[in-house]
Amino acid sequence: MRFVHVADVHLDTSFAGRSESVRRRLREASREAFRRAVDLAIREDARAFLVAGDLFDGERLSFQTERFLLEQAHRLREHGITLVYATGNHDPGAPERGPRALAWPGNVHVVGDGTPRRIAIPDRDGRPVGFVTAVGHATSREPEDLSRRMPRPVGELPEVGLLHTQVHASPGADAHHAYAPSELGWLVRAGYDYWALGHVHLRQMLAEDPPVVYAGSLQGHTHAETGARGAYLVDLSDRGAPAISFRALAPIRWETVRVDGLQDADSLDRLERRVGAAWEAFRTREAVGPGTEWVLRVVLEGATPLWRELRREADLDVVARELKEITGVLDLTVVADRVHPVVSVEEHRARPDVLGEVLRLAAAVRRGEERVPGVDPGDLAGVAGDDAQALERYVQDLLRDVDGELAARLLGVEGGTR
Amino acid sequence: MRIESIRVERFGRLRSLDTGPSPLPGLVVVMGPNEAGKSTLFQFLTTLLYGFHPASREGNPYAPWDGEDASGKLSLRLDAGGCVEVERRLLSSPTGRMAVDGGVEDLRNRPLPWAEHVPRAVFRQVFAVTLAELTGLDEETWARVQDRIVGSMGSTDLIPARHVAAGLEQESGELWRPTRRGNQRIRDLREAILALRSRRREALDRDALLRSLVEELDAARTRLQEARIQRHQEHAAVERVQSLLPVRAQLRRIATLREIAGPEEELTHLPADPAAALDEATARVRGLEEELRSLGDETREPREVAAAFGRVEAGLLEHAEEIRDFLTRFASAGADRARLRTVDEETQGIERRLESVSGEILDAPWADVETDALLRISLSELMERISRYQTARDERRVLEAALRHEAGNAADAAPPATLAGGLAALLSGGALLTFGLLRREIPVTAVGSAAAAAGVVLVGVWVRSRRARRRGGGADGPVPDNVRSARDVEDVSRVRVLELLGEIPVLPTLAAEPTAMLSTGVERLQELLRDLASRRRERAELEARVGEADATARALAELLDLQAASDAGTVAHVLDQELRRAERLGEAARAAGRELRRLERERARVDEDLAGAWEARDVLHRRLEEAGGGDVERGGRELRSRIEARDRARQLQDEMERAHPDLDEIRSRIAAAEADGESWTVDDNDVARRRARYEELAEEAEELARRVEALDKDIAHLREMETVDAVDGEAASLGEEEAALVRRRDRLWVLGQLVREADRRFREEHQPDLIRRAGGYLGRLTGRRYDRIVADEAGEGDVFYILGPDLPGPVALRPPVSTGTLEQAYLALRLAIVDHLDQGLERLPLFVDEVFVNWDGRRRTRGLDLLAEIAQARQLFVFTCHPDVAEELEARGAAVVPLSWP
Repeated sequence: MRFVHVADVHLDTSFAGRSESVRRRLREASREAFRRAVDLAIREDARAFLVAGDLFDGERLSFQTERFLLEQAHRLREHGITLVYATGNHDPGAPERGPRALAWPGNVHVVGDGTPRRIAIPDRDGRPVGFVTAVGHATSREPEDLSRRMPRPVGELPEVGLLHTQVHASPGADAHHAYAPSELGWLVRAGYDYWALGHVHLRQMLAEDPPVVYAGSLQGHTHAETGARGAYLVDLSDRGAPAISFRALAPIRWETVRVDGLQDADSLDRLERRVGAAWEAFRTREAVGPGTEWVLRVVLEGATPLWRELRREADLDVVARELKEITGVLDLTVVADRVHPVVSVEEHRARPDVLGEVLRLAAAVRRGEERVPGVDPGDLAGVAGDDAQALERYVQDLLRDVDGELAARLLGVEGGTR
Repeated sequence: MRIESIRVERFGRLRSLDTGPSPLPGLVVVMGPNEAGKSTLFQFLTTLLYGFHPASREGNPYAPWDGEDASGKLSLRLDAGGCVEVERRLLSSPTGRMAVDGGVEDLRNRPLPWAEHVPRAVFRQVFAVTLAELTGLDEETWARVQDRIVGSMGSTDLIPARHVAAGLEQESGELWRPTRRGNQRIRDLREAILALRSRRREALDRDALLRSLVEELDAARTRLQEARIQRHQEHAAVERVQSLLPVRAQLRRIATLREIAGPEEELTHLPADPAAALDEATARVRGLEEELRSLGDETREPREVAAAFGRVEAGLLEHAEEIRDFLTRFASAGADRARLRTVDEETQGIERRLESVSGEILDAPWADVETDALLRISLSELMERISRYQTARDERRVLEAALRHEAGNAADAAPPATLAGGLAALLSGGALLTFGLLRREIPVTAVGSAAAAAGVVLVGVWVRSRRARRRGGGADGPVPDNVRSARDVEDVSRVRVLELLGEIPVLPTLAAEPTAMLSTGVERLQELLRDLASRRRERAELEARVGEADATARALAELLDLQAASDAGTVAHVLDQELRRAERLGEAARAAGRELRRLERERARVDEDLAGAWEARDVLHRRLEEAGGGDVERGGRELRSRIEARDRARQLQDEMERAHPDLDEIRSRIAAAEADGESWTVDDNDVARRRARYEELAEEAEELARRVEALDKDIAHLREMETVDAVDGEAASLGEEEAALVRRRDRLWVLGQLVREADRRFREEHQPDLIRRAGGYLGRLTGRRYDRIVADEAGEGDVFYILGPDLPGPVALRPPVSTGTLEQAYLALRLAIVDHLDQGLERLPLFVDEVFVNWDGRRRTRGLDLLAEIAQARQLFVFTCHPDVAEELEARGAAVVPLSWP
């Protein structure tokens, strides 16, 4: 039995971005990735197309996206491919505007009421070549382990489990809500030939025998979802040796490039060259083929004579625009929170004057030995509530890597070295 | 610590400076003119205490330009009493060595341990007080200095902390404040995010509207399709009545006709009117037979013409080439005959001339002379020989004449005949000579010249004889030898002439005395004989040709069996006539032959057509007979009617197919309608009702189509408008921007608070002691006019106040307080800072540069006294270019280190 495994498509999920055109392109990218996944299933003569939840955001499902989904489902139907769709926390099956309300064609099985359903997957002649047991979220905050409801498979044909879940302690799980939690050990012992999971956006194989696989998000949505994104093509014809191959399908890729060693970057031109070189080195390492669009975040770190310009939003925008032109990416943001003047802070740390005092006080606050008096929750725009510990952690985080700036401000350094 | 000795090897402009073996005291005056190196010395001392900075030869401004190493030594005595020798050198990298209590330690480029408590930057700024710092203390500068004095401990490289904190707070305030005052970017962002809610609601409403419009569109399209189908049905029903019925009737008629026509195979290849066709076929047969007969008649004449060309004519044509050739030669033979007659005449003329000429020189008829011998005579030779003869003769005559004359025959002069002869010879010779020259006839010329010469000789003889006569002489006597010889020569020459003539019978006179006439005559005879021979040859040729032509004529006449006269001319005429006739007859015979062949082909064709016509007629006759049951006429009528029916059916069929390209489909509909039992009777009411319904449905469909078009446009327009996710995306972007700004704002604000707190703590810790010390120094400097300094930390910056025993209250330490007082207060504070910085630790030397140069005498005295007092506890280096200052300080125990121009 051959099938395509996708998850966390999040159609109609909004994208943050610098311009409407970029956001529009990102929205189109999700549909394009899904279309490519359907193309993959058709091209590889798959018998099933499995969606492990969060196909779209139920609250935002637009009419056009409905039409798009139905169109793709019809394409699968024309090629005799069964679509099994287990709902997730973003697209639970219960609401009337959810996936169960769409007029799906006959090849689509939407499982979204919390009850497991075993679906036979036929070949072109109608003979079953395998089974998919799916269970979908009925609500947006499923607290129970839905995998425990799934029956133990029996029979000679391959059995696949389809589930939107957070496997306990899996990498990347802490970035998501712990809805429908499950345990890896139980999944492994459950008797399925393959677990097609969704929810954690980080693509990973938690186990190999049987394969317990998170397909990861089909198209990255934020800078936290870097690397190639796509779907898995799985062939269980040989149950003892499943063939699992990842296919990169996302037309847009998010990446972050960190650039330090900017002590000599005393002009925009030099800064751009350094960033350009770092970007090329990254491209070379990744060996990504043409046609991929990038949303790039450039994180500048360390000492640089341009630190003050890089702290000004207007100048940062100029840098971002210039770098976008140089790199040719779809969108580019520059983060320069951690740049600081080229100041030898250590030389000034022992000063017997107010500069030495400021540096010593900042270090003490970061260590938790001191507090900055006069800082109350109401004084800070980024703090809500009266949690003193949270306030302290927030202030400590704010004071990370501030020594250079403190020294530069008190020394009156605009650039250069002191 | 105290610097006891300074040894500069090379450092900037300083070279080989040595303060000497005596330890330097606590107060040292470094005196030298401007640019002598006082500042350089300070840098040197700083370098020896802290190391080279920059630490490279290329980067250090005090590395000698000539490539030597910057180097020097210091001797120090520590406050605790120990001695330290410090030596540093700047090679490619800095080196340093220190000797302490007998031990040597590699310093590399590290500061001295006893100087580390004051950073180099602070030492350079704080432990050196210059005149420039004191001057220019206007209100603005003093305000800045205040904070630096205390907050920066006098460091000049720091911006006052409160200013920095204020700047941070201002920057953060531009982003956000807890209050609603002023422009706040974060607040603006949050408001923008809130404003997006309405756009989101609108997007949701649009999405709902889009769904409803799509549903309405689907319904409208469905209803449109239904309406069109119903309309089509109504139309079909009406059409069935209006269109199908006539078609059906027509199809029925066609079927009836076909039935009348009967089996198609019985009518194949039959014309529309078989009876008429039979008559035509019969007429055609007859026509062909008639044509055949005509062709036979037409062959008669060509045959006769062909027969007229017989054997004779054929023979003439066979020998036509020969006949033409004969005729050609016969024509030329006529010319030959004429020529023959002419030749005969010419021959006769030549013969007459021969007779004449031969009579002049020959002694026999020319015909008797051997012509060849005559022709063989070389004319030139003959003339030559005759000329010799004549010459010899003349010479003989001359001699004889002379002899006669000499013989005394003086009377006998030369006879007058001699004279006459000579003159005659001269005249005739001259005439011949002239004639010969004019006619260019050499023989005549030669004869003429000879005659003339003879004439001359004769005349000469006569003249001599007359002269001799005159002299006296005789005629007879013995012959002299010369005469004899002359005579012999003459004879010989004459004989030679005759030898040349051979057997030619020359006239005796000429034989006895050949003259030019002989040669002339011979020449003439030769010419005539050659002409005669030529004429005779020509005659022979002409005779041959003429004879040949005659022979040919006779042969041809015999060959062609011509009963003509035997002469060639008649034969030629007859042959010419007959040949022309034969050619005419031959051409006519050929034409007749072609005509006969054509007629034959035509006859064959007509024959074949006739056979076909008979067959066709027979077939047609048979079919008509069969159709009429033996009655051909009746059969013709029968077949005609059947054929008409068939053709009419076809015509109607073609018309139907042209009028109805979908005839098959119409047939199907008719068949279906008949199968459904549809009525074919026309009902006007039903038609009218159906028409009305059709119009209703058409109107409804049109309205629905417009509605569908409008909905399509509306839907397309809605699709282009903003969707919920687009609004959410914008909100998310604004949210990200807000989060970044929040963090930046909070960071700036916390930094501001941090700086304020550090500044407060620092001042709290250091300011009391510092101000107290400074108050003490101020009292010393002002003679206790002012003896205390206090600080007021309220407000934006510290404001120092000075108090004195005679002042009613504190006086703000800023203008309009006098500049001198400000300078004194500044110096007091700087001195207090120095004390504060290294209190309890190794006291580092202090450097003062011309700070009292602008003070009046009493102030300066107090200042110098204070320096001397300070120098007791801390080594003090005073830089000055004023000798009087140096003197005053020397009076206070200072050691003077002179510096001069390098």
